[in-house]
Amino acid sequence: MSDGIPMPRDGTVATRSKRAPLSSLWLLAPAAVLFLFVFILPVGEVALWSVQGEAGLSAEHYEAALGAGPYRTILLGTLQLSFGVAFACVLVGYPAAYFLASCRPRNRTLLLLLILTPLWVSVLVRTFGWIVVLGREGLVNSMLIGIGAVDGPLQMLYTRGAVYIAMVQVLLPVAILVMFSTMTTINRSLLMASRILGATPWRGFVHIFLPLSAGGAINAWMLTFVLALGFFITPALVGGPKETMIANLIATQITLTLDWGLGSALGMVLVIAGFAVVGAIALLFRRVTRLSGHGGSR
Amino acid sequence: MKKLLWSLSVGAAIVGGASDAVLAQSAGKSITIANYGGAWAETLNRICIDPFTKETGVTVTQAATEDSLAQIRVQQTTRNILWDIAPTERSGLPVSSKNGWLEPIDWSVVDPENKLPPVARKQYAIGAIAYSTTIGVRTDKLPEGKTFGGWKDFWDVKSFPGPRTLRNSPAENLEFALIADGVKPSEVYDVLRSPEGVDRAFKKLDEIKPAITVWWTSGQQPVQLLASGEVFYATAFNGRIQQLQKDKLPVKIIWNGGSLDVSYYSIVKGARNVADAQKFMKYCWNTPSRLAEIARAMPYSSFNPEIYKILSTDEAKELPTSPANLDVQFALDSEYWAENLPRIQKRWEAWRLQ
Repeated sequence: MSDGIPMPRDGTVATRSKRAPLSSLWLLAPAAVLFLFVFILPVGEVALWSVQGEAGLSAEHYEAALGAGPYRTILLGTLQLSFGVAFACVLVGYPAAYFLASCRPRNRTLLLLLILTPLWVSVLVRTFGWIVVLGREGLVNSMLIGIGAVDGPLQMLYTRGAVYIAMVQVLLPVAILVMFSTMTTINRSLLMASRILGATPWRGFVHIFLPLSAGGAINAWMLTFVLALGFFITPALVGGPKETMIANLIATQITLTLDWGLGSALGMVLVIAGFAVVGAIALLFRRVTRLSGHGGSR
Repeated sequence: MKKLLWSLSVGAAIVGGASDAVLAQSAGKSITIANYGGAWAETLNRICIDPFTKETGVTVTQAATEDSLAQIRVQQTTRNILWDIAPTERSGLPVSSKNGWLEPIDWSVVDPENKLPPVARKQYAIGAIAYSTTIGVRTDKLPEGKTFGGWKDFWDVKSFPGPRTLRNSPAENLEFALIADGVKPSEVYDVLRSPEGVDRAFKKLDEIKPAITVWWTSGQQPVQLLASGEVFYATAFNGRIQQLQKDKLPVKIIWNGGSLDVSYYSIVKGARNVADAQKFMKYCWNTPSRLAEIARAMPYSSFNPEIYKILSTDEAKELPTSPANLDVQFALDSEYWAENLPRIQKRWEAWRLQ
């Protein structure tokens, strides 16, 4: 930021950072080996189970998982909820990330610490916190009844809204961090230039900052969406009678009914649906995401 | 190769248990007991495991598990047996027996004097203790002058208004629904096995569904819901409700129509130390003095009738297997659920989402 407006004409900076020399590929080896053994192989095994019927190959488990019935409903509900939660995280997290990226380094460290602290507390504890706050005899209800705003306790816990609130709270730090890291790469001189050329701060934001940071927002959306898909404890603890996530259903098949074929098929459907949605979003917004990470230097 | 892949893929999940077993193995004779954690594990340590190790020199390690059946299956499929003794309650016992995953119990060692009734003396398992799923009632939320008697009242939201919770599982709830519908506790499984039995139970469940605020999944949840006033009536394990009473909460247990569930323990096929595992079963789960001590520590009791000669009448009336409580409950039929759970579970999920 101190060296004016770095705008390489030939884009050499970007090219260098994009292509690592082949000779350093071995740096990937430890991660690749780990990934092979703890991800590719187990998922491969699960994929095999999902197509094994009583007699050889069969699509029966996928038919059960995707045919009309409770499993499909729960799968669609999970996708819908994750979609909304991720969207809310981006919406709520964006201004926070913007604020973080604009404040002075010393304050920034303190604020980052505050945002990161909840991540050190287990999801279970954070979820229980909401039970205390939202319960029939919880903080909010006691207060509302105390000031006479309502006659009886409101049903806030064990609703879809409670699931939203608790999940957004758990995932928000992740979304903020992703967007923050994109925003710090944005070259602020561009904003200054727009002001010099007569743009209002708002116009500068809309035309420069927003497009440059949108990639980060989309990445944050995708990451929180994928994380939300696998949520398990939170919906079970604060969700209503109809709140079941696909992860809960998979656990039932693995541990209770021992129907590992169906459990595997549900798991594979979840993985594939996750990939499909993330892939579609990435493709749809590829022009936007291409900008991110360069901070306007191209 | 397939076996190797298997071990690798499941290894990550059970690595904790594995390292425990390996450690214990290197130090002389040992057995590993898979067990639920928490207070029950601590009680076993104090009353059984520590004295057993002192007397016999056999090290006993407890490995925590929440889903023993799935893990037994994994260990049998990979032939990598980490446990000697494992809990096999609910459908765990019928399913594991049918698949040949268990060692038969040597009853000449575990129960030489033939004290245990058949329900606790299975070919592949000992019924260590029993616990009950009972109704917990917040007595301060009861309508003035009314006494809550059982399942009929649980279903009667007019006379006993207020939020309720049931476990998120068809097992037991179908039975409870039938009792609320007028079936005698001793006849619930006859009705459930009849062609219209399951339909009748689901129809009755329709009635109570709007009053269910939440379907609980873990044993601590209903107790916490009762304590926080989130629900007024809940099904919960008897020991958990008694914990609330110790904390001076206005909560009452309704034994009437409760579901008696046996906590079975089995020896896993291919276990490293079958002989000491049998000895431990006798030492811990079929010695009246220790069983009485366990019942005093936690309100879960054995089927060995000798314990009621040791315990006082006051202590006995809080126990699931005490004669008075035994009479009003039904015993959960794990055979029925092993056979029918996969089918009914799907219907349950669909019904819950309606």
